Amino acid sequence: MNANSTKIIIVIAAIVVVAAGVGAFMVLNQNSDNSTKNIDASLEVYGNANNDYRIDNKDLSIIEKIIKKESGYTLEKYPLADAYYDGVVDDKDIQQVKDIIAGAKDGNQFSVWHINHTTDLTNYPSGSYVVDTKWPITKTVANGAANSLTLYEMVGLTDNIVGMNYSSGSPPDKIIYPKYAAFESLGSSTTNLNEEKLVACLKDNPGTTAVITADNKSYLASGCNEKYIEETLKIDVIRIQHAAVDPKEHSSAILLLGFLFQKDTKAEEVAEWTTAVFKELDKKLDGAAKVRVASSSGEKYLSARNSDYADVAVQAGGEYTLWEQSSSSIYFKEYKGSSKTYEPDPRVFLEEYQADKILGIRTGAFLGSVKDGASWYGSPDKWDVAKMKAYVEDFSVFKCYDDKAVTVISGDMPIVARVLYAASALYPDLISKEYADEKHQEFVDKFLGGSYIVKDCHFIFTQEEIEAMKG
Amino acid sequence: MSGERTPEDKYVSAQRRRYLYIILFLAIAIGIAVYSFGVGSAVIDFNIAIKVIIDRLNGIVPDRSVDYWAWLRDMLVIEDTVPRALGGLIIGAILGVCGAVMQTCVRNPLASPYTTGISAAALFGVTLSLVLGFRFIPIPGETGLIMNAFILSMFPCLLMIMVSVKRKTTPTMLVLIGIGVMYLFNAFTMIMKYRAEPDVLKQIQLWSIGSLTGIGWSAVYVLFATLIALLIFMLCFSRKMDVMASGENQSISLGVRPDRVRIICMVAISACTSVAVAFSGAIGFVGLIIPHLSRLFVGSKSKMLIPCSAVLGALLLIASDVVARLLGNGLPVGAVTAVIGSPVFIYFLIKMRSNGWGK
Amino acid sequence: MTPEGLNSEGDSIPDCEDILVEEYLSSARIKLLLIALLFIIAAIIAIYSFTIYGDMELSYVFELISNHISGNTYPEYSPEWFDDIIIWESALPRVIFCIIAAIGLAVAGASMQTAMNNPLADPYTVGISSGACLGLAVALSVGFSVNHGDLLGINIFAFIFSLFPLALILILAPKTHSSPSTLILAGVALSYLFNAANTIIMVTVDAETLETIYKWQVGTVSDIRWDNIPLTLGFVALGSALVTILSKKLNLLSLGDASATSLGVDPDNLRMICLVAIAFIVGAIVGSAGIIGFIGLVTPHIVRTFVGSNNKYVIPASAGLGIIMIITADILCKMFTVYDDMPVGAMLALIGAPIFLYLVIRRKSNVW
Repeated sequence: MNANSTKIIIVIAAIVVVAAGVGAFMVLNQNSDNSTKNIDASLEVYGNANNDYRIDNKDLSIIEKIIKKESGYTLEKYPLADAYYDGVVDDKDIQQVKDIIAGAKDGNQFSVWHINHTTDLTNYPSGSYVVDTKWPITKTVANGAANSLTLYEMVGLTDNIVGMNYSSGSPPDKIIYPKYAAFESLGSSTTNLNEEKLVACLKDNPGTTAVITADNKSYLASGCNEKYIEETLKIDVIRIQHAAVDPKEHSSAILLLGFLFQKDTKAEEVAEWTTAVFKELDKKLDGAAKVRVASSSGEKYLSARNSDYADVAVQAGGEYTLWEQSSSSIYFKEYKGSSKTYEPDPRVFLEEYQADKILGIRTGAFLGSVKDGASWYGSPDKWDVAKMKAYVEDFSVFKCYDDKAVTVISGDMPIVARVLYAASALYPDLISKEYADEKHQEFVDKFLGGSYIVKDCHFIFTQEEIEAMKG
Repeated sequence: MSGERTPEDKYVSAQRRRYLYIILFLAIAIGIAVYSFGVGSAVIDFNIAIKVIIDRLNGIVPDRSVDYWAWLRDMLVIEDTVPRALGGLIIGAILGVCGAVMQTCVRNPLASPYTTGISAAALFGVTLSLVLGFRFIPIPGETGLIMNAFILSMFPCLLMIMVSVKRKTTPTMLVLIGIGVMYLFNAFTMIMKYRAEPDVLKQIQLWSIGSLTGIGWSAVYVLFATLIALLIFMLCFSRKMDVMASGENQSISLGVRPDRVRIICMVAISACTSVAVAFSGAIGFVGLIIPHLSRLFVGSKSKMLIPCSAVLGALLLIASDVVARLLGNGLPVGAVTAVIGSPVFIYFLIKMRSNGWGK
Repeated sequence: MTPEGLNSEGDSIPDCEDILVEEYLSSARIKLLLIALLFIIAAIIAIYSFTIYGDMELSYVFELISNHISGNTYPEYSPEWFDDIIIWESALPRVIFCIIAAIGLAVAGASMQTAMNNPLADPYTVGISSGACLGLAVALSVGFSVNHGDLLGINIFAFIFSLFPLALILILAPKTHSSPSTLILAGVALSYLFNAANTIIMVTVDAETLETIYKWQVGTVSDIRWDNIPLTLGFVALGSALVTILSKKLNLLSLGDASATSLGVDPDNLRMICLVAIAFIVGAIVGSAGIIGFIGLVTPHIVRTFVGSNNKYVIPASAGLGIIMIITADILCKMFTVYDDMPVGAMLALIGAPIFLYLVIRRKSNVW
């Protein structure tokens, strides 16, 4: 061979390599929207056949395989493959998933089927049921429970919410949620909607097709209840586990909201970040001896095991000492001064139930009147120190009080932050308060639009700090 | 003289028997109260309670930093169990006496302190505080609440006085006015209740039935003072009340103004009942049936009837409390007294058909 | 000499019988006129209430209703569609229920007052309503649920439990003639008893059921929908028809048991039937709306001053006045509240209790 042929071969080889590289690059790019994010949660929408965090072509291929009756691919194994929710997997399901992937066209809505969670185990023993919702949702009424508000913010639903119901005693924080605080409540509390007010809101905001509420069965249970809203007003009711502490459940709720409002990307980001932080927490706590803990969400009582506050303590790595109870509050003192009727449950003093650390998990109102908005922003001279001290002092009946084991976490914050603060209280050597603050701020900046600076606020108080306060 | 007994002898032995009954009931009541120390608590049983009390009497007070568990037991017994038992005894006594006096005054066997509207008014006062945070006298804590109840419960009294001044009031009319006032305050409370949050609602409901939770030493002192005052007052009036009970015309001819006596007694009853109700809520049926039961043992003379009603009331209430705690689950004592009281009440109701009570 | 039948001027003299008959007829005519007037006012108020419930003009309300009847529908989610829902699904059943309840309660109250010969008798004061409410609590705790359409079961429980106080009242009946306050006192004690039983149940039940039981203890019509109507209408119609048939015999009871027996009426039997009919009525009303008191107590008294004591007139007149009362109370409730309808039972109690007091104080003392 002469030198020219060698050169030509090298050039052709180079072109082949470059072409291969470009081809590989293109192939990889094509898959990039299918790239697996590290999200350990499921989008509970029918059509999400592989039960991951998103509806995409992977689900299409599974549905096709089920239709072709390939071995190992059945509806039983992939229950969410029935996208059209008619009991069979056929072309309608293919079309449904294709429509979902293509997205909405010009405000035309069509039905998607998804799962609502509920605590009404009498009527729904599995704790969930399937509903059809007009998708995508552009405008909705939402309930104003504190945990829900954070969810809406995280997913970016502020512009989609046209009305809210909340109780006058705990309205949305004026500083963090100015738009919601400006809404006139559509009901007497987070659990009740007033029919006239709801209808007036629906009339004022045409195109509102949904109401978002919590999974708790007391929400929309009477009066203008779920059945009436769904069947007579023909508005879709969506129930989410807004107070879920378990990272999977928490992320599922976020993903669902993101999907319903076509804000998937942001929701997936949040879910991914949350998953990562919880994994990191588990890693840091790995192997540590479990601390015995009890939570308290109000004056003179401890929370029962089946309450969300106990879940926070458990998620933070603690071993919960108290039992399950239907009313979820276990009193250890009679309510002197407010009422005389809460019988303290003396079991709470037995050695097996007394905790080594107590977590007081309170809302922002713990510090003082919420009417000023984000009380923890305010200077300490606005706080009701007497009330704070009294709350902590009530725990003096317990043995661990002598060891200064009481910590109070107060304020409206993302669940992740609450769990981290709890962990810093339970395992101060492994998780520092600064770490919790750092992650909290990260979250606020990424997902809440940087609406407050964590360092300027007071979210966590130790027993010594409160005892030292003047007032 | 053979062994025939003179009427004087019979009378004396009957009197002695009556005194014996009263002492017997008192002993039983105290016995149940002591027994109640050990009831219904996972931490304290009877032996522990007795030991704590004996230690205290000997001057031993456990130190928390030395032994937390001993301190805990001591605290639970001395701060919780003992005052609650004492409170139960005293409140029962007050309600019993008020019931007896009331039935004598209005000459109706179905009258009770509950039906003068006192309880309803007191309940409204407490609801005002719980739901609206409004107190007539802004003292924080328990005392303010009690003041609310007390002040409002004077209203039915005042109304009765006003009406009796304006026109001639029969006993029946007093009772009906009481019931009307009760409906009125129930209406106010209803309106408050409906605007309350669910947990406040539960508090109000339990309070309106009556419960002995949360009675501490301060309550016991106040209650004891009230009881003593009541007993002294009533025993002084006992003769006048008996005269009044014999009939309108008879009393006037014997120099006793029936309507005066009646009103004074009603005011006294209202005041004492409102104190009791302010601490424990409206515990019904005690004032209703105790006088009947007392009459079975000691007859209708007020001098005997009043002390007997006191001890029987104490007995009933403390026994109901023990039963309520044994059954557990946060059952309030008022529910138990209602359940025990209603068969008794119905029995008396039916007996009334043939019996000559009433006008 | 004047011929018979003519006076000195030659006009005919009406004779005594004619005068009495004519007076009776004209007074009867006046009474009927009054009753008609009451019902007309009731109708006007009922129609007016639609404008309050829906916050809309009267002409618009008529338009909606006539369109609905003639089968026109509106596009979904349009403002008219929503308004139509409010009027048809919410306001209309509510008003109809109020009318039925008022009629039932007025009938129950008027007839009970005659049967027990007690001017203060009414299903509420006598404890029957409280018994029915206990039935509701038991039904809910056993697992019946309002949201899942167990209305029949709930109503049956209410009826059965209202029979307890009823039996006691019957036993007590003879005694209460000489002492009317006895009946009321017994009613108070019974109400307290049922309240206590309610509490025992509520201790075992969860927070949502608790709230529902509360609403019923106060008495509210704001949750009434079309499914409540057939049951209530049926029972109330049944009970009222029974009572109306018996109204002539009931009149005789006011003469006293002895006289009534001599006129061929069995007083105990009659009372029992009458009270059972009342229990039907009360059970149905309480089963859907809870304890609504005072209508049966107050309306018969007020109408008696105008139409006398004959139940033939008292019952319809009380019904008319009762409708006016309950709808007015409901309208007042709506106007006074912000987020949630104040329960109509509370408003009625607010109006009724002072009237009760007034009636007690104003009566001549020898009546008591």
